[in-house]
Amino acid sequence: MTTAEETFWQKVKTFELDDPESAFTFTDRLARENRWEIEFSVRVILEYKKFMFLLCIADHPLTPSDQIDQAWHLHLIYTHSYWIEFCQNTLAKNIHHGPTKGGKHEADKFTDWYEKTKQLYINIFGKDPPSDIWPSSKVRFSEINFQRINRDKYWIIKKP
Amino acid sequence: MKYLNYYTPAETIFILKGKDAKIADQLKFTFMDLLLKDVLRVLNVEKQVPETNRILKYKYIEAGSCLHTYIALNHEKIFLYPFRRNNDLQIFLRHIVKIGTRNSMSIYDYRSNLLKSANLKSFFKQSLIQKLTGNFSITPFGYEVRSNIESEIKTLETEIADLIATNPEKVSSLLRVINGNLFLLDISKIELLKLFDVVLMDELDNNNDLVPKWYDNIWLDLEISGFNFEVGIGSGCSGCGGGCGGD
Repeated sequence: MTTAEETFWQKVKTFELDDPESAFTFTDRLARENRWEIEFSVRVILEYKKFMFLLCIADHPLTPSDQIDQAWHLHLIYTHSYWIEFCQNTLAKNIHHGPTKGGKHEADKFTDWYEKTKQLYINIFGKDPPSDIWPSSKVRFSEINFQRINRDKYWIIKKP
Repeated sequence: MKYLNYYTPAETIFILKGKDAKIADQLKFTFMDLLLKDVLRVLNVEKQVPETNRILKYKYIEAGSCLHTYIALNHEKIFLYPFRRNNDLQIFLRHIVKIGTRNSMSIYDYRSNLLKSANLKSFFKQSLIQKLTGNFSITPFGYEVRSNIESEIKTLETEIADLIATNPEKVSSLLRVINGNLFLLDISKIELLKLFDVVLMDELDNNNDLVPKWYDNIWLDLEISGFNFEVGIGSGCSGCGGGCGGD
């Protein structure tokens, strides 16, 4: 990481998604909506910031893990925080989120981008991305059969 | 101070109170002990909200200089896992309280960790039935140490009361030796400790479906101290499930 990149990374890293006066913070919400432990949610948010930082310095498109994508989706809902405080005031760049259009070509494209993202992560941060937040491409693009369930009406039972 | 500078606050409380030891106190004082030992540290940050005069005050917990050299006991590790996994994490105080509470799992697990601790092995005994039910008895040696700790606390309180006006530096050095056990003395009016109380109470309230029965005593305390039970996960939500807003 160059000195300029390091300075920029510190700025991104210290960007705060949580409101200290809020009884139910971004981190709490991310944990609740994904049934994660708070600790995992805290770690995902740090990785989300790393991903957004990488997006700003990369010269090619990148793809996040599903865990990081969940943090990104949630942040997009906090529109003022995302567009004004984060993109405009911190990253100085408007970063749009583009979902897949489906099909094999798209799958191959995103797999390639995901691999490139993890390689760039290693090059910049000097260590492997944590595997529980950045799983292998095989897991990343196969174990994503999610649906929104109303838990007031349905039970969720784990498959054996 | 033979005992107070050797045992951690959670252990001291366990020796002194036995089955009546409150997990909330043990968690709280363990956390403060780790701060005093510079295993963890507090980072206060103030940020101005752009285009307003509003200042937001953030209280983070981050790795202290002793994190990687400190040999943590199991009941201390519950606060340290995140930082040992990732050294550059900065976690809100309220989130680290949640993490510690979650990691302590249940009174059964928490007490098991303490009972298995090499420091306390000879103070408690468990029959097979007691093991199954999570109970224990105190050994004669345990009672003897309890009495010695009580007398150390009394001596220290008297000494501090005498010195506090004339020699505050001496008081400070006396307290530094016993780290988090200082909170067991009747002299503590520490701001962070009070804040931790509020956050812990909120956490217990927010997760009442997850809070096991072992928190009954704390609920009782909460009722007595009149904490506001209205703050909770289900309240004040303006997420997409409950209606969106835009400007």
